[in-house]
Amino acid sequence: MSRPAPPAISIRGLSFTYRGAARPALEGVDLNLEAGRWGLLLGPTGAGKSTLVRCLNRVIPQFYPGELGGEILLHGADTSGARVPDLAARVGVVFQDFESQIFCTSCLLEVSFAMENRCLEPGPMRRRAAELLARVGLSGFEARDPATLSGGEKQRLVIASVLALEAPLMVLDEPASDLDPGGRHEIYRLLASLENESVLLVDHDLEGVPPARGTLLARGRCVRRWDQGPAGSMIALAGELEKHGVRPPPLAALAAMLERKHGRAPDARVLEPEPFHAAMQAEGWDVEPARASPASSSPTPGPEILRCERVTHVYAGGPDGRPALDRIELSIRQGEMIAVIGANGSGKTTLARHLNGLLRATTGRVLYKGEDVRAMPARRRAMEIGFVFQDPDHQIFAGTVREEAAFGPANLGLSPRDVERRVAMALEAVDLAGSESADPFTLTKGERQRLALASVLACEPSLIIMDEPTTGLDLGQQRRVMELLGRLNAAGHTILIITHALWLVAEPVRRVLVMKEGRLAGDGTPRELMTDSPLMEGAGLRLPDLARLGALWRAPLLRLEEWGVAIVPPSARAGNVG
Amino acid sequence: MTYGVFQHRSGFLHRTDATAKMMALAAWFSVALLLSRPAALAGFAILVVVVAVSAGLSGALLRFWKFMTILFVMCAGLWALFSRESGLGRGAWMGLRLTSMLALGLIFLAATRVEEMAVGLQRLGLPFMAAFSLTLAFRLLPLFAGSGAIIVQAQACRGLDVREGGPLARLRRYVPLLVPLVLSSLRTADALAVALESRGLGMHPTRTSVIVSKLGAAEVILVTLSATALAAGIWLKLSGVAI
Repeated sequence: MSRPAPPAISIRGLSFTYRGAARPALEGVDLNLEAGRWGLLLGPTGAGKSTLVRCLNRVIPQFYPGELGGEILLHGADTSGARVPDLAARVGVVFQDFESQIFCTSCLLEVSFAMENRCLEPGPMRRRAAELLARVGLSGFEARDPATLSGGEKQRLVIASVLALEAPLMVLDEPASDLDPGGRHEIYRLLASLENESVLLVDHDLEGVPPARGTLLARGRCVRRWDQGPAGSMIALAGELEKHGVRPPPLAALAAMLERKHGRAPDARVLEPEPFHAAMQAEGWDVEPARASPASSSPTPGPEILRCERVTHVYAGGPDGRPALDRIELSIRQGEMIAVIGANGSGKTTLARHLNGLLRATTGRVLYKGEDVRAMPARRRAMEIGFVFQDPDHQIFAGTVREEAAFGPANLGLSPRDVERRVAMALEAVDLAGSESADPFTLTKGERQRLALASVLACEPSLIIMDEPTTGLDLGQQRRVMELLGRLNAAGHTILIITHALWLVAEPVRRVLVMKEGRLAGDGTPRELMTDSPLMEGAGLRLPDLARLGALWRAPLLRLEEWGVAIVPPSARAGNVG
Repeated sequence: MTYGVFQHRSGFLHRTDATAKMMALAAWFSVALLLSRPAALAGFAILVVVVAVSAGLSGALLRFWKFMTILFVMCAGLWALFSRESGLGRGAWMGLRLTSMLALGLIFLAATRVEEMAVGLQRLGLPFMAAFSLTLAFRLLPLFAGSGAIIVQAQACRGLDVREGGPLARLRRYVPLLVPLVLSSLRTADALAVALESRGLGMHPTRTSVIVSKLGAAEVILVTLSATALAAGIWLKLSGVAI
């Protein structure tokens, strides 16, 4: 009788405290992943997920000193004492910060790096690299300089580069955080297609993630563990996941809501829109969109403040000389709240950087209140058009939260009293009042993101542009950022965000711009665009699950709350009919 | 946006093996140091421009024209001030020599990938880790430059203008640029080290390369020509002929 294969990962009592930290990042964590299986490691920001990942291939303690305790076995072999490169043949790790994992001058060389370390011959190496690039949707990118790729393309390149290790275990720390919804789906499909490898996926958004056994971490401790069960187990978990900052599969959240409200939910075996719709129909559930008709209180936008006139941009040294922006015509009015969506590389960020004059259009021009933004003095531009970058660490430098928030208004030459007033207002708006004396570098990523916004807000710009304001944040933090933007918009700020999180666009955004290959492919309300499958799919975007369910019911419903109101349970229907 | 010096072209220099290019570069650097007559220095500068244009790399030089002009002016000025053979004219010729050497180095970097350099250094006898570490700076600089560009933009968006005020005020205005740049550079360097080892760097004592070195006719001609020029220069110098 053959012995069962040892687990791919077996962790017992793992604890780690970073040197100088007040509390442990991990405390007595146990985790088991059977060979050849999928596993999920979930939890909010700061739960200790990335720390656990670093422990798996001994990056902790080799690169991050501290106090490490417990035992880690990979495929039955103890990892203690092993060097990081020794473990590379046993575990391939895709770390969260994908930008800093790219260091070669072409995609071919990047993917080949791991194979060179494995001493493969050049011929097979080239063939395998081409295969891996094709597998992650980068076919034909062999000669491309990784620096010219979009964020999502870089993320796929890193995944291909780690797959090149051919390790029996793959660990991926938020591998799709910067991918468009279609790209996310493709990556999960790719990971699911790995036949011989075990996969541990670390994330805090489960939309599109195949069901698997999982572990929920919070504040360094394991708070819940579950086996891969039917859809019902995920429905039962939905509330707990949300409580801990993890976004459950939207249809699990919907089913949980229906269970709470009606005492039952459609018996869908798979939490995908099509089977869920089929189960609803078979059981006699109905949807009455009129019941959820939102009280549309959209304020009427004011006069036009910004206009793009046939804006075209071609990057010097860019691939194929293809324009990153192609004859964009756009008008933005005072008080609007706009989301720019589109597949990776569609030109969203390039467009945003033209709106405040960071980039000069190759042809065409951008006018702010009738004046060419590039001709505006830099200081006035900062006063009128605020731009919050994706990574707050690209701007934070001061010793205290107050100094950081005061940097912008102080540069504008305001009096100390005015600066103080604006700082107080901005910190209040982003819920950082009371943290004025805190060191910005000790804040969490979500807090630093809010501080970056506060420092722009303190300049009191009429237009605020935010590049991916929710990337890397957990569910609770994402909701808080969107609520904050909604409040700022209600207070009169015109807001434009670039985002991949289409589910966030449902509220409080009132206008969506869809970018496709440098062109404006769509411009309308979230409801109009999110129910226009041909347009969205044509732009390389995969609709959120709730919007796809809505398309099946011919009901333009986007938010969970709307669905909760619009769905009519079978018994109520029977009553109505009778 | 790319901040590296390497240019994606398919000219003859790009097709030439990195080992041969490094040997030729060393030879022509030495030749430049042997030159002292204005006509020879002018000829050398013209040769560099011809190589850049024929390899399709004039853009690489134009990208650094400001830096090369500053170098030329500073070198000419300093030479004129401190050399025993003082004179602005003499300084200008020395400035031309240094600028030509810099241009030659830029042409090499624009035509040679970092990875090819590492393989070339290995062929010249350096152990892999030494060759890899030497070329690591060329990998990191574009990453730092990229972060630097974003930081400058992010602070400009908050109204920072470093050109304002007196020298001390200007110096202070660089703090909001330098702090995030230093921190992000340290983070990048750390993350890079983690990524390199996590992808198996150091897994085995040796390592293969996807880049196949080739020493064909072009390489032989380039190295022979360069070695001949250097030998001729040394012979003329030893014979007391000023070149």
